[in-house]
Amino acid sequence: MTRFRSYLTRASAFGPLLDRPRMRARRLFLWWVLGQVIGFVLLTAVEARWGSYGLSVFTKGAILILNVAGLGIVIGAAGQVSLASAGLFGVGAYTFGIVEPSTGPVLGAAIAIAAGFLVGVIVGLPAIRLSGLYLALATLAFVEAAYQVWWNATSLTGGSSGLIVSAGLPTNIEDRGRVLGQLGVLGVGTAIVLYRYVVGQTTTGLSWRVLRHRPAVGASSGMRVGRDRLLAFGVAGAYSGAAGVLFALQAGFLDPSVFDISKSVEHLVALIVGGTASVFGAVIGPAVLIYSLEAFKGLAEYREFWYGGLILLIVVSGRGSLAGLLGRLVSIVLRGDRRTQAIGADRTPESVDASIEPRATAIEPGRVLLEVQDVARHYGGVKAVDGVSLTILSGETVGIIGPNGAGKTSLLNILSGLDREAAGSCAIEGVRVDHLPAARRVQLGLSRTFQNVAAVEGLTTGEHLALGARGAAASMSYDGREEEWLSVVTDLFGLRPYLDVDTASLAYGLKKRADIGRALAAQPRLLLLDEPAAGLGSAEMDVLAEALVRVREVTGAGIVLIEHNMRFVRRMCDRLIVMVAGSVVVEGQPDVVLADERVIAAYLGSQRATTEDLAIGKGP
Amino acid sequence: MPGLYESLVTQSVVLGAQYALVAIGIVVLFRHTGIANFAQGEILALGGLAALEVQRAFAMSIGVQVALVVGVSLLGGAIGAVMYAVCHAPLRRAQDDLLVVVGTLAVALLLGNAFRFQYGSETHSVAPLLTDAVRFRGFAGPEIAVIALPVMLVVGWLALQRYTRAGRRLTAVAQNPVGATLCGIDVRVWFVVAWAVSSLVGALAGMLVGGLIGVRATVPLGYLIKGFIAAVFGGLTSVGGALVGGIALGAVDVFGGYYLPTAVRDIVGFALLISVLLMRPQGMFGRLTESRL
Repeated sequence: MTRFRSYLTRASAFGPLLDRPRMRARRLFLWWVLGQVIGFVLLTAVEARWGSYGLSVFTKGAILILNVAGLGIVIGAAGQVSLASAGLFGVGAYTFGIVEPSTGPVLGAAIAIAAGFLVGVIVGLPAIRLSGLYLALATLAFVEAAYQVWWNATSLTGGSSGLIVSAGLPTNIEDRGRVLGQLGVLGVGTAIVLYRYVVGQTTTGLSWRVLRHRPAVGASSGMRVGRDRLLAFGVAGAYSGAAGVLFALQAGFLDPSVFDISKSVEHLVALIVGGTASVFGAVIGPAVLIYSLEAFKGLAEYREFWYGGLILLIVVSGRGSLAGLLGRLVSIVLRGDRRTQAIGADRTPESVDASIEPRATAIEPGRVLLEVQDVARHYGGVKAVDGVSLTILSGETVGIIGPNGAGKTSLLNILSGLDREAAGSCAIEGVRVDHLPAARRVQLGLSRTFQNVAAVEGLTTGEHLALGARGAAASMSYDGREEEWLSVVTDLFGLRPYLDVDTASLAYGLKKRADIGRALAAQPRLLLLDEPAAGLGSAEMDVLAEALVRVREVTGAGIVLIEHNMRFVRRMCDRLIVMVAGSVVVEGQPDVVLADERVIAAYLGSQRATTEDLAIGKGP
Repeated sequence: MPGLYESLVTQSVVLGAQYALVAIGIVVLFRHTGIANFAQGEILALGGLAALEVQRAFAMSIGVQVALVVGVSLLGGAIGAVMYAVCHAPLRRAQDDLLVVVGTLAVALLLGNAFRFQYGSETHSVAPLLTDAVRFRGFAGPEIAVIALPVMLVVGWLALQRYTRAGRRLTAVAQNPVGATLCGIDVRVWFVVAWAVSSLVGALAGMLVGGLIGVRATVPLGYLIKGFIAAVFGGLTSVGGALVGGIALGAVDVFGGYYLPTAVRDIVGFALLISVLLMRPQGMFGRLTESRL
């Protein structure tokens, strides 16, 4: 049970996610110290072998690593396309160069890093609405605009005549190199530990990993997707800002032509070479590039050929990174090209055996949870949802059925806040939510699942549960029984053996259960399920139905489910709503509704069919 | 003697037509494949440099000029097909925005550097197809060529889309590749077509613009970005929008350049880009596509 304490300790943006935060902090500190020691040894070795020239290359490497690690946070962790690093690099360098004479180096560096963070957040603003190519263009435009500022704001930057940065470094070339190298080790070591901590162990990091693949799942789990995107850009800005400080110190002179877009391209190349799977890609990539350029002196002139060729090799291979390409080759050589089977595929579903008492916080039955009036949503000329009204009470299960394209999922998207209704009103327990985003609705007690498998690649089942629990935690007051609740959900849906398994490798039925577990982890008062039984075998389906009935008994929550499988619907639902072409045509008791002529006509297009036909109409 | 205002308008149209030429190539590709080619600038350089080489080798005559246009078109089409094979085909299933962007950037690096090795960084002059002897209103021959091409491209492209089977298939592939495949259309063929047409437009544009302002081994990134801004104005999917966007941006640059300091002038363009992206990412003429959850 202690496994879950972890997920619930604090809900601040950078609060720790995993077990025993203090021990984590100590372990992180030990890693940091170890990194500093390794860095120092490396630095000494480099100096012994290559002298002060080696030290200057070492520092260049550290600058590149800081930039690439920042880019890795935006691109690798948060999945946003960004070309902004050269501009942010310039922000750090020029801010330091400008403020350092009056503030001194330490405060100056802090201000420069903060400026990088701030400008990063501003550059990230378009990411709230844009993605992919559009975002690439917006960030590219930022680099160009910043570049113009470096050239033309001559009173601050000195323009083409440059800006001298002295910062009181030793004038002796060896001492200077040693100090810069030490600063490089300090910066890179801190950056790596911070990266691993934020990405791996904070709610924000979890949110990044979710929004990389399925932003809608993040929003529907209560994650503040927009804010978290901005934070990713901000942290990347701080990293590039630190790189800029180190660069300003090493160069001693800032020339605007350094900060043009080809710098961003270089950072990208290094990131792609190293791979985005972990922070170590951000170390490996720069190391490979810098070492290759130094080892083959003649290469410098052909640097762009080398970069371009390297990327094309990676692109054509389709493996995503040089590390991935090599790893793939090694695994083919060692083990032959085998594909692994999905985990849990061979298991027959176990029955529900969790013995659980109704919760003290259970909702009394018959309370109005959701009240929807006349909501409508049109896409161009298509009336996806056309004036639907419904009321959902606590403790009841309501099925929404209807032919494909009837607007069922569109309705669910409106209810959960992923899509805005064009007309009508929607209230959760009397609170109007028409203008509230999905994340806020989760905190009011509404959770949903998705029709397509919504298990997020790269997250374990345990992290899915954490995602659900943490997203809702922002405003709900916990009663201290959350661990117990997560434990109950885990057992109800048979997820315990898979808590530490990446959901991407789970069998289909387990992925669906992990998604339902995520939604339930938020302790919803109202649960919306989009085709929970689709694709399940009949035994799996029975277990799922049993588990959901238990959930309802224990929590008193209301459940709304969209489903095509009539056996499942009959077993689960107290009430059915039939949608055709965006409107509700029939509503009532399952047996009555399923016998209705209009429903049969909608499903089978004929008046001759009987209810029995409907029952075997779809699914097993 | 034309007044200041007329002269600024003339300059706007000429500059805007150049931006539009870059933008049309970008739009043709993006509309049909969802990919932006960051090597479009290098493809322009390729067209201009090809013209330069031909002019060095042969004395210009009508025959050579016709051959030049055909040759540059073929060259552009071929480089497009190669880029499809290298940048697009391997990633067709991966759906990785970043890698595709990076792949075209890599081609830009390779081509740009190869050109720089061969031609240095100076500007080479190229004889224009239409010489200064031809004049119309305030426009000289080379300017007329640069203005006429995007207009012809837009009209021709729209006609092709509306009235031919090939055009409708291209649209089908653009809107729904899976659906198009199920209808028996080989999507890959049409992707190659889109790449080829886009690069062909780029190469021709490079040749004509070269006749106006000379040819350089590398097209400055700022120029490519202006093309993107113009394309975004049309939502990256409307060829007509790209033309209008290009001319509008030309006007911003020329009038801004006259009335504003240089630094501010460039920032106006970027501010425009960001505002259009934020407020109407589908552009002034484009339509936003809905994604299914």
